Amino acid sequence: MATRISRAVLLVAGLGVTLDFFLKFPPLNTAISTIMAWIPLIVSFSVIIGGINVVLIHKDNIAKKKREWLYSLVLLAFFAITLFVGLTQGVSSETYNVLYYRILVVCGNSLSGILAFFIASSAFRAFRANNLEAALLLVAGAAVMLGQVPFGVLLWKGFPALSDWIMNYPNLAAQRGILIASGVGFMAVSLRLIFGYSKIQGSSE
Amino acid sequence: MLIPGRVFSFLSLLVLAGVIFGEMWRAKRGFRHEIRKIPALEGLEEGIGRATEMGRPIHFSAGVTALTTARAPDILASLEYLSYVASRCASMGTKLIATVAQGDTYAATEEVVRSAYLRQGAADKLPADAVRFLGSEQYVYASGITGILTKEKVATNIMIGRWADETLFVSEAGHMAGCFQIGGTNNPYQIPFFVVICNYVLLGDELFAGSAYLSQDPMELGAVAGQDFGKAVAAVLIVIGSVLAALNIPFLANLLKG
Amino acid sequence: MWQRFLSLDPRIIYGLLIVAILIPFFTNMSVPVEVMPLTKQAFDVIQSLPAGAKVVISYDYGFGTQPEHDPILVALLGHLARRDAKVYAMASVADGPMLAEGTLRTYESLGKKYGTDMVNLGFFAGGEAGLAALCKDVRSVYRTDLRGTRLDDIPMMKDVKTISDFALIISANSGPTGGALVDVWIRQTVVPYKSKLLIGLSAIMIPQAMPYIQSKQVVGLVGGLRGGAEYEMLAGSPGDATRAMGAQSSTHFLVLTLILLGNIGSWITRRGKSIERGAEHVD
Repeated sequence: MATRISRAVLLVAGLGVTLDFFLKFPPLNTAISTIMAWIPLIVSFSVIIGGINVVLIHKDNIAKKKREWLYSLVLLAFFAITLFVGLTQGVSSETYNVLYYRILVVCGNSLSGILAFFIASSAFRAFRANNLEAALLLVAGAAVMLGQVPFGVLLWKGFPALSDWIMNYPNLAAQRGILIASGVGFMAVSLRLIFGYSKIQGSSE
Repeated sequence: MLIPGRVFSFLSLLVLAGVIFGEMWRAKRGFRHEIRKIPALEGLEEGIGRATEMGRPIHFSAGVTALTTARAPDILASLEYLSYVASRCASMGTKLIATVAQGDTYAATEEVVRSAYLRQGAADKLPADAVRFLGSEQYVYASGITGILTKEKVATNIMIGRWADETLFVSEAGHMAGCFQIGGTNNPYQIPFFVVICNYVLLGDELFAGSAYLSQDPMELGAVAGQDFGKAVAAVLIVIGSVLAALNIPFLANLLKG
Repeated sequence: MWQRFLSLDPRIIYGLLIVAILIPFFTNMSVPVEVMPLTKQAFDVIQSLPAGAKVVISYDYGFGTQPEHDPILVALLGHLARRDAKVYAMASVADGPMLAEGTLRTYESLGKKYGTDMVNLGFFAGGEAGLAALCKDVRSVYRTDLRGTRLDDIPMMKDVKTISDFALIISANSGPTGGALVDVWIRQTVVPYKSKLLIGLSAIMIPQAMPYIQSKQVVGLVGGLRGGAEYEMLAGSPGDATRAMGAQSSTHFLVLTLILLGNIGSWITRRGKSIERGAEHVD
């Protein structure tokens, strides 16, 4: 019964939002506008639930002294501090800004900075012209890289134009192909979801 | 009633939906759709076999995206793969570690893994920590996976789902840990990283087709056949449109804008 | 020798990369930056804005890509300040509002006042669905700004009802999970409301955005740190992006050299092996 109700809601909402995009029919348009306005509220609650989830899982790690429970303790401590500061002093306060910009942002930047090292080591290891396709990929990649940096212009003035050509013609064609194929695939899965034909939902009738 | 400028899109949607449901109906009536074997699916078998022989775990991850976003179909397709991998792990006694980044994906992942083990009659062999919630922030999640790959000496790392910037992070870490890797995503700007690093890759739409191939569900296979019709029509329109545009005939362009 | 080179410890590569990044910073190395057509196109879009134009800036990136996006936005904000634009900051990711507070200080430092020239509306939840609701009615999603002031009490919010009230939308986008991607903005603003959309992207996303540029669904693109440097040059105010060009050039040079040497080594090793096999055959 619960599955049937949820599938019925999914069908009505899915069809309603789809038809709202194509049809000018005021009762439908107004109803869908109202439903759409509820979604940010629902998702906001899921953000809160996500936070509660994190607390419960890490609290459990600490209580049962599971693997790396000390890190869970650090996480919960910072969670509590940030929440306290945010609620009492506001997000524009000096303390909150220090927590955010001097700790969180710096850690995030550092983690994403590691990508540069990984790209360098994987490029050295994997960009080998072992066959024709790999050689073409390598040449195209190198041309685009050199077209993007000022150093490339110093080597040869034509790199930016070559890079532009690769981006605007072969790359564009390939991206369009991927977009169209993915879009059609996406549409098919979405239709199956809306009409309740997805196995993960529980049935495929 | 139809909004001008969206008429062609609406008609295309109706036609494509009709074809997809038509093929699904044919499948339900017993027609067998054949999908060519996707190389990455052979890689999946190879990876599972490798982990079993080495006595080391398999790691599976669908990426950071939640089920409540517009990219939910990618995650749902990924769960089909997880269901297959979990079934094989249950039957072969290989340890499975499935990591998730979002609360809603956690619930769905747990359900899929538990059902797979139940189907194989190995519910008692399901490890308590088979499904692990690591955190919803991208790099936090990636760091968590990196730790698991290294410390638990994962033999096979499967990254199939909706992947973003954490792709390179995780796959390079997997390579350094000596993992056999299979990647797959519908995200065009992450595909190159998978191609460069992983042993096997599912490119874009192969994500959906592969899940149908694995499940061998007639309805899914029918849907994939219907998709192929849509892609064929798009290809034909591109060719015709290019010729007409070269001849300066705006008929098709105006039709598509209508 | 080449065999050993091909199995080079990654840590050596990391060490070389660190050196390549640091040298330009310590030597104040400057490199010429040539402005590409795409950045010029984006510059012209903002240059053509009338005084007092309402511009949305959506912070659709997290702190992971902040070093790439912030210089772009600072350059854009500098230009918008000279056009006397009114900036409405919002975000489709939870990190966005705080990142907006950081860059809006730049706007304030140019003599602009919060509430009359700029406002930070904060985070809108729901990704595409949230954006769709916002486009139809801004007040269905936002009741107050980030600082808790009711929208009706903010002077610059008086004439703002729907997305059509804005002259330009700028999305600083890193393809965020759960947030509004470029195609989401196109579907929800450009297609139904014919809005003008300008995007500031991570470099990695530029190839994916090209179809939208060519079909004119996106009116301008500032891509990556290089795009930020070009924009700074056009705006006449070199900043962080320009300073980073030296490091970017040197690291690209290093990576390309390693790739080239790797390929040479791989070719020599393969050739050596096939000669050995040939010799064994003869024996």
